[in-house]
Amino acid sequence: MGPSDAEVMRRGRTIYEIGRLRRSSRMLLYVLPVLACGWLIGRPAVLIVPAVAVLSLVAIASAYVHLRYEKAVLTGIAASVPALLLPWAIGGVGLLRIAGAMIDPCIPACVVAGGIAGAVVAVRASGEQRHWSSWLMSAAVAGIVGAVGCSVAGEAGVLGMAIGTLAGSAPVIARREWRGA
Amino acid sequence: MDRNARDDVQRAMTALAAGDRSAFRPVFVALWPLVQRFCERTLRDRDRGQDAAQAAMMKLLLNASDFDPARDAISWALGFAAFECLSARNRSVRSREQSDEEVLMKAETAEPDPERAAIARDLRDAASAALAHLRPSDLAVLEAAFHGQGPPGSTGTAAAFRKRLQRALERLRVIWRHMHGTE
Repeated sequence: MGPSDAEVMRRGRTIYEIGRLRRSSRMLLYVLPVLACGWLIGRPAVLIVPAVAVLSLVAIASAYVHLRYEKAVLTGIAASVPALLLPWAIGGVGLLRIAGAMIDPCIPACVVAGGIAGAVVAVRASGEQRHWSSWLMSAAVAGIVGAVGCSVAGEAGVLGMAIGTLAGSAPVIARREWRGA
Repeated sequence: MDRNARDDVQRAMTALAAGDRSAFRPVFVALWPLVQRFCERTLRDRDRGQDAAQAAMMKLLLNASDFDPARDAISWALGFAAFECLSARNRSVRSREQSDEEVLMKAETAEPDPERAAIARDLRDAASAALAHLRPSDLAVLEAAFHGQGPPGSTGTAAAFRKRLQRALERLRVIWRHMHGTE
């Protein structure tokens, strides 16, 4: 006598979860190259290694839970590429004299890049049914990757990026909430 | 399955593919009987059909997260079932072929290798035919040499015997070449 339908269903659930895990592990294909860029542009291992560990865990766990969070992670990674590369690209310019003050251009670059990331993740999340959780996931991922890039400008760069992300997201979220209300 | 039921399965499969675990039961309840019936009818055997259906269902669920919502869920599921039925049939044919081969290999034969036996027989016949053309004295010399005996007859030294043997073998070679065109 073969297994009962209940047994087949139980085995099927386990197999389904294994299939989800297999799918979610493909997120490493996106996470690792992005953070490899961070290593290539000279970011220190003390920053890259924890970022790889945390981001890998977040990406795989999110994708395992639901497709919307998989998309949120991918959006966060894509949105944070300017924050990863822009400060490094303009870092060689040196200090700029603006209105009589000497300013490190990396800091405003981090704010701008953060703003771009914030706007992109907010626009993407506003199209989702559970937009808050999607936004939080995307913003967290963008923050991790962006922090690797904006650490070129030190804590001020990372703070600037975070402020930029919030500032970029705020109008989009406010508009959505106002329309939804 | 009617149109509404088909749409329900499609929606459930799409939700399951996205990661909605609450869609698992509706998908299973809709597809499992379908896959079972398909396999049992295709293989015309309840037990083999059950095995194929279970294998198909497990593969379907393993790949459920990669289901493309643009595809029809029922057809997709039956694709797995059809593949498993085909594999089961091929396995069955291979195992029948293997058992036939084993029977033939184990069959008793008079000769260890039929081809070699045929060659040996042909060579024996050819040799007999060639020997039949030799003079009786040459034949006697060859026979004596074959049996490891001394020169035939009461007279003759070993050297003379070796010379007669050499000439007898030479005449046999000539006869063989003449008959078979080869050494």
